[in-house]
Amino acid sequence: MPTPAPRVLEAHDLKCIRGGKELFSGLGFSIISGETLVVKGSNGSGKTSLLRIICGFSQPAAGRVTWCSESVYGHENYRQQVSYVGHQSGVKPDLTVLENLVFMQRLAGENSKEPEIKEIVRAAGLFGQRNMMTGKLSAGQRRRLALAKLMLQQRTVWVLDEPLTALDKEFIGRFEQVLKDHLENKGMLVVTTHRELKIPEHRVKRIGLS
Amino acid sequence: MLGAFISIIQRDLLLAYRRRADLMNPVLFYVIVATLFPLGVSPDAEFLGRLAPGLVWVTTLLAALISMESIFRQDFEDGSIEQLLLNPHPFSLLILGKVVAHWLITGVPMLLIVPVMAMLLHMPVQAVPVLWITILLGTPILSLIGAIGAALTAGFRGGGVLLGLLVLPLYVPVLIFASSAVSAAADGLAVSGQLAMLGSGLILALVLAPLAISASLKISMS
Repeated sequence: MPTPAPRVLEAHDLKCIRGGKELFSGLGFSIISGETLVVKGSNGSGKTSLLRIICGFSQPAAGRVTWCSESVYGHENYRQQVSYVGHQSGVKPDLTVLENLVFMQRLAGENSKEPEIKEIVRAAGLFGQRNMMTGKLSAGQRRRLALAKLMLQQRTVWVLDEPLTALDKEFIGRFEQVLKDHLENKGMLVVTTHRELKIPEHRVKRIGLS
Repeated sequence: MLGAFISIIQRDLLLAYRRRADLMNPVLFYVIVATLFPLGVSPDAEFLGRLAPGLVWVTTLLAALISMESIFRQDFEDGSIEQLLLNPHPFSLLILGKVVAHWLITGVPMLLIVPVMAMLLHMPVQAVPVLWITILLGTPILSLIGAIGAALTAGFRGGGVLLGLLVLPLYVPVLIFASSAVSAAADGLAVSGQLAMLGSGLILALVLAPLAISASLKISMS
């Protein structure tokens, strides 16, 4: 039986311009299953813009990002394998914690499995707040809910923009374990963070934006 | 796929229910115009009856425009649009679900209120069923066309003025055919031509607008 072609997320000669200012140019990377790309840089250096290009939300001024050699922009198959947690987490403040996750799952076309969702809510440390409106949660709790979505969707490529913001030390430790499990299950991770993540160092690639 | 389409409608209806105050704005606008117009212009029944078809439809159009501004605003701000883009189902189908929910929230109350408004404005009784049909056919077109403008202006602060400029010219054919049908019915003339035009406009908007809305949202996001 032929072995399936390895899944590769690559970028070549990326250039990004925002508001007439060049944020970066000539940027490239390549990661395969089990690898992590850590993007570092000061505020306004283009980290979020790079993540949005990687997700296929916007196009670079030059260069391209490819998934298995095809451009990610408008790539239907790639889109179904990406989970993105940005500054805005896609969490609805007028829905409860459980409702948010149930609708996320249903919108993904899956039947909502309440026991599974409750387990994820428990893992995110939000079981006591499961029926509370998300708008009434603290910033850290809202972040936990956004990250809980990753466990719910189980996609291959996780693109995370400052995932540790507002999280407490205890949950950061638990979340790092979730990231390790994801990478061990042949997932990929693209992350911007100002803190060091405790994940297997030999499989981490780094990009610095200035 | 149908499950995701129904889910987005359910979610938006639930969100609208939780923000009931916002829900009332277009309906209130409708009622205020219907009650103030006779006071400001003339309470004469014959005069009001003659103006009623156009007046009701201009009010409908403006009420629809007021409600359009918010259709994608919160989704844009809280990052939900990005999540919809990463959904395995066609983006345009999910967006159509949002427009359907918007119509259920804004168009259906208009359908309920419009016969009362017609009576307040002394519209001839034989024109009221036709008015109701034009609202039934016309308001979804307004929602679909308005959503294109709302999608294009979703990323701008104060995009309301721009939305009006973009969308109002496109609303004009709906206004012409709908008010013409109601006026013709009031005069006892045939209305099938105007209603057929509205019906075909609705089918065209249902097929093409979701594609235009999703393309506009992608442009606004990039």
